[in-house]
Amino acid sequence: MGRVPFLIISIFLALTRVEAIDISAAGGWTETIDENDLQSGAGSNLIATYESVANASTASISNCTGDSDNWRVDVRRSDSNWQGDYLLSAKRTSDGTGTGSISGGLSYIEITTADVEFFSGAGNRDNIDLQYRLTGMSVNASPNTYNTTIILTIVDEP
Amino acid sequence: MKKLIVGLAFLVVLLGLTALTMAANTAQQTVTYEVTAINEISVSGDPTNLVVNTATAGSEPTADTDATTTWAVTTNESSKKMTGSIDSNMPANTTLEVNLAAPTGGTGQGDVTLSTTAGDLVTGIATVAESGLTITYTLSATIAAGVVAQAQKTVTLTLTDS
Repeated sequence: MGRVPFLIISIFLALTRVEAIDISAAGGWTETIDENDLQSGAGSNLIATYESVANASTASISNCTGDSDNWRVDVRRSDSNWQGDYLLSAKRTSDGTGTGSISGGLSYIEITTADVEFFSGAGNRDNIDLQYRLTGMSVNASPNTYNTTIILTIVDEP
Repeated sequence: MKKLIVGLAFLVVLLGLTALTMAANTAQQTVTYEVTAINEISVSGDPTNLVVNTATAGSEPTADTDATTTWAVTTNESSKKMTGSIDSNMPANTTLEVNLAAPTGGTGQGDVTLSTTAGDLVTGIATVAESGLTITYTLSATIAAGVVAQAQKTVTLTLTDS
């Protein structure tokens, strides 16, 4: 290959990479479960389900080439200290703002350690509200602090 | 000129790779939940008055019992036990005993004489949520006690570490 064509291809590749869609997120969720969460005091079990506020965190999509630049967001978790018996789910509670579009993710989906599609759209979107839910809690949960990292991955779609 | 072109090509490829590695296509958030130690007990109420007022001729007075109350426990810890005590000792020649039904996994200690020193009532309690566990009180007296005026005792039940 000549050097000039190589140079042109390299410039093209560089420009293509610079235009990758970005995702950012802010916020998170911390929940404390104590004796006030018993279903009906002593002798009863813990409430099984806990929900964050509707806007526990926000995600923003940026750097799209235009309103027809399609993308999807996958979600998974990476555990630091987590009990697999307790299911973590997330849903989208707002469309955010922006001239692009967004769909899906309005019902809770379980977050596992493998990527699953969360929602999709096209173009830039700001401040998409996310809500979390923890289910399966019981007194079998040993006193401890459990945490996991939720990873949102944006995938550029044709 | 040749060196310039090669240099430019190298620079552009490097810029492309740099852009690739800096592309922020993931975002992270942390979810944390804390479960605190939960150790809750309750009782359903006070037992009825215990009165020793009969006897079979030739025998000590007949003890009186009450099993109208229950207790409940929730704990998410292991190696717990229930103890019991009263606020002041019983009059001479009278005895107040208590018997707590054990929750699943626990071991009841049967009829335990109450005193101002806490005694084990149920041992081996671990991660359980149960209610409706019967409490049985027994008041007994010998003839040596004579006539004893009505009195009250406060029974303190405690869930504690084994």
